[in-house]
Amino acid sequence: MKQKDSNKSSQRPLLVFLAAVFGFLFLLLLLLFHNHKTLKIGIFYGSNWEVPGTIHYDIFDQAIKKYEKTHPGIRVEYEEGIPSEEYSEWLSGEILKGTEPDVYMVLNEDFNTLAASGALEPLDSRIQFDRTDCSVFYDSALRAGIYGGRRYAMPFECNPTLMFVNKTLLKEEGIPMPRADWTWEDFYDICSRVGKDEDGDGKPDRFGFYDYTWQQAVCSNGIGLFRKNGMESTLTDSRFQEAVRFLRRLEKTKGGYQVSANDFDLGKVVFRPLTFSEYRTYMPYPWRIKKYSDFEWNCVSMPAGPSGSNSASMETLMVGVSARTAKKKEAWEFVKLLTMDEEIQKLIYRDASGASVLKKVTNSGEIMRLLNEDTPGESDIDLSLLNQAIEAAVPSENFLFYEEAMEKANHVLTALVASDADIHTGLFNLTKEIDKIIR
Amino acid sequence: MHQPKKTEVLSPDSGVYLNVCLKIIGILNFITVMFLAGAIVLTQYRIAFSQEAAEFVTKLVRLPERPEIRLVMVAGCYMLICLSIWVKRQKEVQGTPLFTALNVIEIGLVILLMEKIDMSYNGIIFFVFAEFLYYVKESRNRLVLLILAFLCYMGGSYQLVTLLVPMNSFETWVSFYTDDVGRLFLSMRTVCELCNMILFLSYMVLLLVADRKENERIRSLNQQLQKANEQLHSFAQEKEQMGETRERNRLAREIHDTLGHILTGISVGVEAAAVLVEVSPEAAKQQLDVIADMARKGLNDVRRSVRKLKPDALERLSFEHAIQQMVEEMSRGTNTKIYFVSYTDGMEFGADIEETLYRSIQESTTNAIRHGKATEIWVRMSEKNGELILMISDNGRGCDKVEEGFGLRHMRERVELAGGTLYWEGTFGFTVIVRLPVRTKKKEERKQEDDKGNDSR
Repeated sequence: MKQKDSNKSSQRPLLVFLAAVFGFLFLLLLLLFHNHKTLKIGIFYGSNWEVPGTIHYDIFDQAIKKYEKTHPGIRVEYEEGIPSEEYSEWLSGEILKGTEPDVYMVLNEDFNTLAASGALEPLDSRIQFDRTDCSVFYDSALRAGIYGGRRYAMPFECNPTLMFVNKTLLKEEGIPMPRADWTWEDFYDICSRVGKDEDGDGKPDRFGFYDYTWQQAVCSNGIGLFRKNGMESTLTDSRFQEAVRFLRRLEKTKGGYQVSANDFDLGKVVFRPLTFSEYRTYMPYPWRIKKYSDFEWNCVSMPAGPSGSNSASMETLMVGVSARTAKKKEAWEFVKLLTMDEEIQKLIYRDASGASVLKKVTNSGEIMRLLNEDTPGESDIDLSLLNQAIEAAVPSENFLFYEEAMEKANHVLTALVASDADIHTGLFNLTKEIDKIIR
Repeated sequence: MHQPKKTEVLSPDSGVYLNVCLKIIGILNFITVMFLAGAIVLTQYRIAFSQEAAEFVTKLVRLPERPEIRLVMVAGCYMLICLSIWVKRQKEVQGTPLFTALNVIEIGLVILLMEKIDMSYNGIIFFVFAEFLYYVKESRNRLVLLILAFLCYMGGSYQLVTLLVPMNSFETWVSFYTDDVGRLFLSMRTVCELCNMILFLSYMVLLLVADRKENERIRSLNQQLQKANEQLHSFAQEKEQMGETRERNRLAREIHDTLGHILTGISVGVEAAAVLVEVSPEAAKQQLDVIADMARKGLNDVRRSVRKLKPDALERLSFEHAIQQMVEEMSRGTNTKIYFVSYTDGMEFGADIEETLYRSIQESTTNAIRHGKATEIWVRMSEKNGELILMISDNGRGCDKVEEGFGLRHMRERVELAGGTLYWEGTFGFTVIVRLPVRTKKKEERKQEDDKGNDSR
């Protein structure tokens, strides 16, 4: 009897302890899984590519309807009224408060920070587990969601850069439209032929190009600014120097005049790189009248450098899963629906301003009809051009100090192009400064 | 001589001081971790509502914990650590595997807690190690533990941990505020760290002081014990000598009283007879008869004396009574229940038989208790057709094969000497059966036989 008693009393503290542990775990689980029936989505209204007239809500409403049909018992909801320009701020705030949505849109410029901080769930294992067929996507769009060798987001919508051409101006000069595989030399040739002083004030009043930057030149010459996941810059590469030298030559055709966006709007400039979303916004009826009413225009691919192809940079809007969500499987299924469902992706051409990341959707004739519905006359976009532009596009590189390094390079290179300083020395000095940032 | 083991608990007053010190360390650490967790959570919310969130997030090297989880985890882990300490203080828990398990759990909780405050404070390691030190008495182990504590303290610092696992530093969180507010937060943390360090050092000093006091106390206790032992030893020797002397005195007295008296009487009587032989042979003859009578009486006296000198219970008590007494004593002394039943109806046996029976019972019960670990022993004695059967059985372990040791062999020899047989069997408990042919007799006969028997002794 005595022994039993002592057993009992020795178990009492243990029981108290175990009860406390279970109480604690219960509280934690309650906090973590309290609304496991609701999937929260983070989206914004307006376009993230600074063009008017885009509202994503419709696409999402359709997707949610479809999702809720296949996933009974789960409710999908999103917070309305977050403007695109405040989306990053809103998302960061939610992450800090710990209330971020389970699935959210990832802007190109936020991707590096979100992936580096661990806010996004790595998706490789899920893709492998599901045997998801990633070949349906454009490879360039798919690569945008990779950080440090792992996939953190799936592409939803992409926005390649195209070269806008003032057809009226070209016709006046008697120059034919450049072909899809045109080169730097063709580009330079047209620019130097256009650069004329017609009113005789000593300044040229027709220009070859506006806003063609070193990034586009480097990109079309087969390299980026960085390689090896941002561990090294390519500034000392001969192709880079080639690009800078070409830009300098090109700059000379403007005769020292600072061309502005207004000059293009007034129809005085032949070429201007613009994004696909801008094409889509300004080409159809209401906006066309407002902005470019005095001339006919169309777009071609970017000119290819001697060592590169007709490629340009491309921005991608992505969708990611929160690393902290308790509904990872449900979230991943919603991401797949958004990015891989053809019906949903088709809606991008109806409601948004970018291009679908699915090859099949972008290449379909139905989409082409939809795109050219409102465009007048000869300004039809060539289907193969869009396909080619996306396929050849170079996604922005993903590493933590990308933005900072780019800013620095932009500053120095713009000055270098405009000046007569030695290109080799200038690039060597910049290499040292960039290395300081990325290492 | 054995060194007495060091006592488990410290002397009461130093124990109280140590506990108070530990409690203060515990409260201070609770305030510190809650302050840090609170400060980080507050900052998280303030940044979230400040329009600077996107910029601040780029400074973070890893995803910040959810505010409510952070608070619950920090408070919960701390409570569990304190609860574990309380459980360990319970006497029943000490020395069990649970005690070790709790220590491991505690360390796990500390790591979890520190992770939840972004490794911005590692003083809690001292709290836990201070509590561990409470149980460690050996100074070498204590030193090892102390070194371990400092190693953990260093290993738990943000600067080291962040080399392996990127962490958001407290400084990063505080950088959100203006310089003044930020500095206030940082200095509050520093004050907490310093207080904690001072308290831990005081705890160590208290522990060392208590240890020294304890050692002194033990030494003095040891000395006292040694003294008492020596005294006891000399007492025992004295007692032995006294007993010897008393025995010698008793012997001397007996010899003097009986033999001396008789021999004196005989020698005087014989001298008188020698004189009378010549005067009157008749009277001398009479005298010699008297002397013979006296010698016989004297012999009886001597016998009685010798019997008196025997200390055996058998001599003083009746046979059954003696067995009863032995059984009771053994029962009392060993916490074993011994049942003695006799169906011999007050029969008396010869002294040699009684002796054999007595010794057999004694030996068997002793064996049952010592080797069989029995808790109940039955002793049954009966007589049938001139044969006495003694059966001793127990509920002990028994055994199939018994090496006949000294005890059993001795018993067998005794029994066989008395013309009997001895069996034993160990399948269920252990049973010894003694069969003896008996010659029963009346009490008077016994007395006579006794007298005769004493001749032979």
